[in-house]
Order: sequence, then structure tokens, then C-alpha cells
Amino acid sequence: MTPKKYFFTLLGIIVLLIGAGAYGYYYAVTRINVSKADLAKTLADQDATIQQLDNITKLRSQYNRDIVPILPKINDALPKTKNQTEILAQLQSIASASGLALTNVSLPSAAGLPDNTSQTVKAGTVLALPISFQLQGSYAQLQAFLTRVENLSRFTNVTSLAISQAEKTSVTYSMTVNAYIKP
Amino acid sequence: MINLLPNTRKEDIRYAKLNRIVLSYLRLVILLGIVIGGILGATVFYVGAMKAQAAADVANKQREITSYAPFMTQAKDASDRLIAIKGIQVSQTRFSLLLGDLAKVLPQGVAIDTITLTGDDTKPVRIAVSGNTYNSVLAFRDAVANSPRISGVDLESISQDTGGFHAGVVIGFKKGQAR
Repeated sequence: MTPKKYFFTLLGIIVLLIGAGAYGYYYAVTRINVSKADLAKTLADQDATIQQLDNITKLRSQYNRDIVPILPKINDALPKTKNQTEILAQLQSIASASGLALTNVSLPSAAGLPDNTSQTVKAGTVLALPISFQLQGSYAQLQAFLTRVENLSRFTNVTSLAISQAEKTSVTYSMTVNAYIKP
Repeated sequence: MINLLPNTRKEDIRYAKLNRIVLSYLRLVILLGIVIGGILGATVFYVGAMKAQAAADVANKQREITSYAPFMTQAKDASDRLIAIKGIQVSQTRFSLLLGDLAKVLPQGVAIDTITLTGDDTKPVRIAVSGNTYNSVLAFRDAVANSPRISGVDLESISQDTGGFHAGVVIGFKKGQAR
């Protein structure tokens, strides 16, 4: 090979190397930029998961400290099932403690197969079991009964109260109480 | 000095000198290529390793978060239950207090015969009362009108029988005072 040919071969190699190097540089920088963007996203995800984990840990300790001790109360106040017998027994018990006679208790007709939430109606985010009944006694006894119903451990709501006095001695109270359930 | 070499030889010598320079440039280009390539390769490797480490850490933490799923379900249930309880509390009627307030303004000798309470302050409530005298049922109307819970009172009827005087009264509750 003559020096001239060798010169142009070397020049060609340099040009090729510079071209390949430029392409390699461009490729590597592009790849680094893509990896950098991915890394930034992954680091953001990492921060978010650390934050989430931190929140869950805090929530768990708050739950164990504040909620766990009152869970039985919460479940008593808003049970998962209608606990029909329990609420009817409570009503009878507070009626008799208030000196009232509890008569004519009625609940909605079961629409389908009886289960833990049958006979209930939707009341916002919860279900309500309407219990209608009649009581007989004095106004003072009625007030005592209502106070006790309003302070039952289970959440109830007197949705209607009708007072009728046929004779001076006997007053009849027709009442509907909603007992709430959250399945 | 006079160069008597033939032109082809002279050219060969010139290119040979140039080749030395070009060769040194070639070495420089290769060296630069190796250095820059090394730096870029190391950067790609480092960023990739960091990314893999961060991704592994995220995956670990996600697994840890997933392990809290049963607790999250419990917490959500308790939260939903508490929110529902708050909602019920807001709409809960306190008829014991309402009746107490009505009883406070009930004049002597007047009794409520019938009343139906629903907690709805947008609907009128009809009350049948009986009293010993004509004036006592009128006094009932005025007394109820002065109750802080009542927005208005209308007398609809007054009748008399052997049991005394009977009046039909319609009352309206102020907003939020019917429960």
C-alpha cells in the first residue's frame, strides 16, 4: 500500500470512528436521558410508597390506639346484622323500666328469604329496620322511655310518634323506631 | 538543499509524514472514544443500577403495603361505620326533649289528646287538645306560639262536650326544631 492510499485509509477510518463515536454518543446520551426519566419516576414511586407506608403505619397505630378500644361500642351502635331479638328485648326492657306497657309490635313483612338484613330498608349509607309498636302509660313514662331509647347503645331513631288519648286515664303512644344496621 | 528525488517519491515522503500525524490523531480519537465510551457506559450502568435498586425497593414496599390489606379493610370498615354513625346522629330525633319543651308551655288543665311527630319541619303537625275551660284551650294556643321551637300556630276548631273543651291546633316547627 502506498503512503497516499494508507493516508486516505487512515482518514477514512478516523471519519468512520468519529461518525460511529457521534452516533454512539447520541445513542448513549439518549439512553441515559430515558433511564434518568425512568429513574426519576421510580424514585417518585419510591417516595410515594415510603409516604404511603408511613401513613399506613401511623394509621395503624392510631387505629390500635383510638379505634380498637371502641370497636365493640361501634359494633354495638351499628351492628352488621339486624339482631332482631336483641333490639326487641331491649325495647321491652326499657318500656317496662319506664313503667309502660308494650303492645302490638310489628316489623315489615319479609320480602324474600329471611337473612341478616331482611325486613330492612335503605337509609342513606346504612340499612334501617323499622319497628312499630304501641305503648300505654303516662307522659312522664313516655318521656322516660324516649330518653332511654335515644340513649340506647345501639343507634335507633324514633321516626314517628303518635299520641292519642281516648280516656283521661289511658294514653296510647304509637311509635316507629328505626334500628340501624351496616352489613 | 536541493531535493533531487522524483516527484512520486517526494509525494510518498509527504504522505508518510502526514500519516504519522493522522495516526496520532487516530490514536487520540480511539482514546477519546474509549474514555467517553467508558464514562457513558459507566453512567448508563450506574443509572440502570440505581433504577433497579429503586424498583426493587418499591416492589418490596408494595409487598409490605399489600400485607396491610386486611388491616386497611378493617380500618375502612370502621371509618365507614363511624361516618354512618355521624350521619345517623345528625338526623336523630330527640322527641323526649321536644315533648319536654311542649310540656313546659302546656297550661294547667290542658292535655294533648293526639299529636303525631315525624321530625319533619316542613309539614304541619295537628294537635288535638282538651281543656277544662274555653280560655284554657286558647291559652294553649298562645303558650305554644311562644315556644322557641314553634314558628306558627293556627287554631282550627274548638268544641265542647261533657268532657270539657276540645281544640284542633296546627303547629309549624322552626327549621330543625321538629326533631
